[in-house]
Amino acid sequence: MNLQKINWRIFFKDPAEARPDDFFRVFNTWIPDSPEIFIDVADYQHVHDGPLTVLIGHFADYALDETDRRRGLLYSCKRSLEGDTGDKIRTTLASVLKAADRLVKDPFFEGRLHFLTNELELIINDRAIAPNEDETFSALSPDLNRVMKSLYGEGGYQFNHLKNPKKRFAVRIASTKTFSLPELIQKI
Amino acid sequence: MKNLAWPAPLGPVLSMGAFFIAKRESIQMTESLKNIDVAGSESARIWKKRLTGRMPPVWEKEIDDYETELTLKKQGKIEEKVFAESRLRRGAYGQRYDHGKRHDGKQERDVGFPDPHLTKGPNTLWHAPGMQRIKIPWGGMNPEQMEVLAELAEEYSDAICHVTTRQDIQLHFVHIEDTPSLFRRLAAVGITTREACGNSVRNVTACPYAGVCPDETFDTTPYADAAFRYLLGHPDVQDFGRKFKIAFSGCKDSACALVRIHDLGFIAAIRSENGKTRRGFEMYVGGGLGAVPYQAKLFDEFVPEEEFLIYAQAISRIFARYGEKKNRNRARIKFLVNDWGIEKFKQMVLEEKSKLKTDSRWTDYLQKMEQFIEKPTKLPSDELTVTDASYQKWRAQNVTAQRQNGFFVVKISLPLGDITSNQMRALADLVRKYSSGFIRTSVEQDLVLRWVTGGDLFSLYQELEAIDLAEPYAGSIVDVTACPGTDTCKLGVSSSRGLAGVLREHLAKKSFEMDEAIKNLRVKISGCFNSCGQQHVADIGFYGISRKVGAYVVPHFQLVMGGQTRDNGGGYGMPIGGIPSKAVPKTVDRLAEMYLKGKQKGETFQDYIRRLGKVELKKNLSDLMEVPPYEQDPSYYVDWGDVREYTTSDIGKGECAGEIVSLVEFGLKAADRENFESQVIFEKGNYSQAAALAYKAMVTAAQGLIKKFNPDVSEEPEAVLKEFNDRFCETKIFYDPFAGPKFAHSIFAAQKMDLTQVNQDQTRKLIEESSLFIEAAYACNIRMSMQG
Repeated sequence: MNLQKINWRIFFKDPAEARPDDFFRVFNTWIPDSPEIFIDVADYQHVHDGPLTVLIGHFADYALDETDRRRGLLYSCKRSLEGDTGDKIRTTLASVLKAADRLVKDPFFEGRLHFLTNELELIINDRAIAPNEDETFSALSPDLNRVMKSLYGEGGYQFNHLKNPKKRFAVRIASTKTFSLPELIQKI
Repeated sequence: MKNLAWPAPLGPVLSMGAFFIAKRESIQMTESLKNIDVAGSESARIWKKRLTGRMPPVWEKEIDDYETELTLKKQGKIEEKVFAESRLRRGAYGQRYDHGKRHDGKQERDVGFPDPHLTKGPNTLWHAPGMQRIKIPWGGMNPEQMEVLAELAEEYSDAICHVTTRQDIQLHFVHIEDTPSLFRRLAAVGITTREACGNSVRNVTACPYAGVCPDETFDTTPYADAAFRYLLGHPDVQDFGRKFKIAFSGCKDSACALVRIHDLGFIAAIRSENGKTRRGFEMYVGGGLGAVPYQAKLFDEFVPEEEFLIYAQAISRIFARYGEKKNRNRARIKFLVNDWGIEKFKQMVLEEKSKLKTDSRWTDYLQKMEQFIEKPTKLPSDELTVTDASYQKWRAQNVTAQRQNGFFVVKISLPLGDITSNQMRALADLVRKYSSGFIRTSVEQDLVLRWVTGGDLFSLYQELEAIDLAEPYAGSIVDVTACPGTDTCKLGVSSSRGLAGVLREHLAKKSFEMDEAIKNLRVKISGCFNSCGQQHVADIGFYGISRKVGAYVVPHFQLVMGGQTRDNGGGYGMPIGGIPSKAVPKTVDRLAEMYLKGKQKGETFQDYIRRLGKVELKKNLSDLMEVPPYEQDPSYYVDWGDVREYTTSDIGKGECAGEIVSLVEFGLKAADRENFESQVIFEKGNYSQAAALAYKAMVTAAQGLIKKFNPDVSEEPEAVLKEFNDRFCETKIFYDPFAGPKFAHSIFAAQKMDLTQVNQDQTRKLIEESSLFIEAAYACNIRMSMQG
């Protein structure tokens, strides 16, 4: 399975503190000074059950997102990734964790922003390569397990394959252990 | 209706891919090339393999050809302009910043796209994301199509489907290499992007209430569909100088299809002959908005149904043969009709019609009319008595009774025309559950469900509310229409979507205390003069402009009043004056307050505005047209939906705004005033005087610009125009980055006119052109300031 278009979601502890206007302002500051290629910020706070504020990039987008009615930070890798499946999972997960950490530390939020670090959601944004079926989950599980083991430790997490056939392949990862974002970044 | 999910086989079409490749002798079509997979991704290969044989064969071949062209372009084997037209004809547009630069409020910076020398058109970088327009003929979609659109938005865009003012769906931020897969997945459910852009027949639009409207003469859906299928890819529509838009309406009076703003429009009509009723159309031609709006002219009061496609073909051939090709700004059919006059145009079309070879497809569709009769899946039923206040508000605003007893139309108000993938999927299920299995898009960027039974209304409301699609604003002042503007459009001057979002929120808070006459006014916004937001037919319209205030450039909107959506877009408004973007919500409030205080008994908003007159109206708004100094309120210098300073001049940056008023700015202000006065005189019916003043306003603006280089510029118009030509046209300084010499031409054209012999229509156009010339002069002054 040549996985591309890997997405991650990490959720907010207090969603009310994650306001679209704030993200719009902060994401705009990321554009000029980032090593990543960012193009613009799109404002969708008028719609529901989807993105609210999107930092549009070339390789990846970052969004304040409320898909499925849960507010979180969504990382969407859009271009080809190098390496094996484990490498791709690890690289993309590192990107979302680093972005979350950058947001937490942004002085604009004045320490109000906190993420639930014991829960993650992996989405494969490609129905051709990763149909939302048990076979995809079986094929992906070994690599996903290896990465999660390094993150949360042996037995420290559970997978929940979100099986809605109309939606993209997605796995919710819940951990019994809680680490800080810097700790998770170090582990990954 | 059986024919939606799988289109009928198309007739012979010219394959653009084959055409372009055949044109290039140096390219050898090898077997291996035919099978090139441009995206090179496993995903693209899977879709190609999976969907081959599941698309209409003609569409499949075209997509294969397009994919090959894409590969050849990437290899540098197709000319830039040729590939650009090819992708545009498949709806794949450029998007803002696709030249690789973005102003961050302080300076212009490189975005940093990889492979900056790889392009997909002139000045359009390969890796820059683009907009994909998807044709939805007559706005009709079935649930399977809705689900595919939701999936494509997720996988290739940003999970947002955007409904346009011409009933299309647009996806933004799409990479060019994803387009072949996107096209295949659409084609497999009967949707094409062919000719969604480019110089050809665009989406064929129609009233979303066709077939169920109590006022319609008959259901125009099968005719709109026949026009779409017959003209799609037809050889006679491949050589236009500009786009061509067609609309169908079932009645003459309503606002649902806006036939009279279209290049070619059909209004359902019947005629009794020998005791039999014949169906046909009142046919209009030569309408269009854009920078200078034209009302379509009546071509024929009754074109029989078996002849309307013949006329459409003959008109297409005349347009292709005689329409302007070199000057893009005069290439719409409205200019040809205007230049020739409707009688000559009609004569040429009738001659062409008589020469056409008979085509069975002209009338074949008449045998398939029954396919388009939507049948309810449930028996009609009475409404339940529901006391829920929120439901009652929604019921009053969003629901209307169908012609068929016991069934209802439910309008879904989409904020800014946007719907998320999850909402679209959930809505598809509701379409299956509550309607006849179809939904329609509207020109007001909303969605329309039909065949909902009275007994189902409340449960449908509850399910719509659960997916946040039950806002009670459909067709109201809150339901603001807006084009993409500076959010994504390369031509946007001001943030139409940003303003629309703010206005929507602002007006929603007061909507239920509003007077009925105010509540149902239409607000339409465009980001520039090109009118994609259709502001000319709004009760209150705006289009984006900019103004220089001291050392700063400030986002503004031109207020346009007096248009009308009813009678199929039967009246166009006129500009009143530039309002700073940040003052627009207050302006809308002011207009409403003025009406409520000043209206006479039974007087409509439009009648009140007409009675008040432009001078009084402008006087009442004059305080809102002022821009406070930067130090007093810097928010005026940032557009809605943005955090960047709108634009800044390097000269005098940081100096107190308002202190520096150059000779140029004085000149432009004077031109503004003269233009406004010309409108006032026009309204009094003195056309030659109004025309003379409109022309004078242009000369004053030109004179103002010249003062930057020569403060002693002549007062003689001839001398001013000569100097303007030498300094600003020969050097192309005045030329708009996108519209080129368009606005410059208008002053020289006006110079040649006999202004003592102008009629109402000519004067109105001259005033519009004068207004645009002045805007172009403002823009030119800003460009010059920024270049130092």
